[in-house]
Amino acid sequence: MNIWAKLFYRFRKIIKALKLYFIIAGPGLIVMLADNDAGGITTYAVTGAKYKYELLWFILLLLPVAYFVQEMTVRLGAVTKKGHAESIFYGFGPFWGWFSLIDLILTDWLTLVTEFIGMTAALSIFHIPPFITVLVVAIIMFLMVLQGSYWTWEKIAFLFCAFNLVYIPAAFIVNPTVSQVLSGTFIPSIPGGKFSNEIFFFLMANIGTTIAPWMIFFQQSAVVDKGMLEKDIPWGKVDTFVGSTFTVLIAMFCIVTTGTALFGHAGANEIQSAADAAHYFLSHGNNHLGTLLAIGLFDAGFLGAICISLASSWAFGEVFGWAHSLNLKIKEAPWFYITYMFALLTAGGVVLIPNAPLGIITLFVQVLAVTLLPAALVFLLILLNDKKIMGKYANTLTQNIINFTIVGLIIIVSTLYAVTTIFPHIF
Amino acid sequence: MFKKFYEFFINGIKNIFNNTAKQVNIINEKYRTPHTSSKPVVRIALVVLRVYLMALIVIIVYKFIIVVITGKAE
Repeated sequence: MNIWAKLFYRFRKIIKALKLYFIIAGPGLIVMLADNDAGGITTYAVTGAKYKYELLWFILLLLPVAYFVQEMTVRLGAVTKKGHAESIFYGFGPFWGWFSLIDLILTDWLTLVTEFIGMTAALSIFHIPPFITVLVVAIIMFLMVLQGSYWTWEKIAFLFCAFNLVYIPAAFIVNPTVSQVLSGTFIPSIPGGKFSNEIFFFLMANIGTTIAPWMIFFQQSAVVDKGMLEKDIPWGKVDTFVGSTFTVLIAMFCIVTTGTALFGHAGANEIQSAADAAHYFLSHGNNHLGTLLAIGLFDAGFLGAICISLASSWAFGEVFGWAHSLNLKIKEAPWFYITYMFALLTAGGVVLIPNAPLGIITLFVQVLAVTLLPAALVFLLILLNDKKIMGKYANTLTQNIINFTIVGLIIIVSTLYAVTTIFPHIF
Repeated sequence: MFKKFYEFFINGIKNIFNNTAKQVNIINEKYRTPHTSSKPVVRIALVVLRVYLMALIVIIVYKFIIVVITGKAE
């Protein structure tokens, strides 16, 4: 027997498990990596520049938060075969259904605008004009869905997910002190030893970027579109866990990169976004790092945009009864693709308007998301506790203790985040 | 010519509104009965959620008016 055959025989169970994982993997991994969208990357970049590694432990804590919330969508989608928008209509009637749908569409569209802001800012570093960026992004996104196959779309999305990993080499380029990184990750501390309004705002912003309403709607719809069944739930959970681990790791690497290269440097305090950080590196002769950050920011916005626009189209299709699957050709599901492209083109168009109030749009995105997030989470918990709907996949006592704690904390923190965003000097 | 175009345009919009209204009515009828078990805990949670959202919407509308009047986000 040759060496490969021996190895295959020895690890056959692991190989089989990995093969199965790659068949089921998708919704969890994609949604989690897309969670590190343009807004997310900006939050991490600024967190690193301001507080170095001191909030890394907090990012690590967000791993179970992301996993437990998103895992519920896998079970709900696989059992009911309904997306989250349809589940809300089905479970709670038209009032809550319309509220969630309209709020989702508004929030998604405004978030899409912020993704385009991130993408155009990233490519303007390479002197690419915004209208070219918007046009090329729209064409790529159109081509991605043109195949009429969920699997093809998913594999292309995986390719873009891989670009999200650029923050890992970026962190190695800046050569951080490993002992300091480990201490920041595993020993909780508050920057400066004192809790301030600014630190509180950053903690809230990091939670806000970890759980967004569109993620709940996207993953549940993707589970349904992929055709996952009840028997696939364990693998769906593994997929979500792997995704959560990656999203947190990438966030940490991003913080380590800017924390090492920017913290304490002159001008670092003026950095307000990931694009500012990339500009800073390029203007200080660190071309590789600046380029990697710009590529990462563009990819983050791109991944966010494909998932967010799909979340809206799926939700519309579920409620209005239109054909709504990536497995259908454009002729078979015209409204699904029209809403998808309409959202993309209009959001991209807003960024091209001279003097558009982009700062105000960003502000209202954060606030509007908070009106939808508590509702979506409460509906998720109620549905997951309904034995009539969920059968043996309903939440257990342990899951309820964990999930109610997480959801309660997210609601409190995100509400405070919205209030401080509206009234910055309230606390 | 202009009148024909105007009528075509107005009729088109009217049709879109009528069709949407019809579809909304169909959806409302389809999902009229909520399917979650109406335990007291669920009912209380939904009432609290309504109050919470109303308070939040009042704050957002207030902020929106301030932003429109002053033209500043802060």
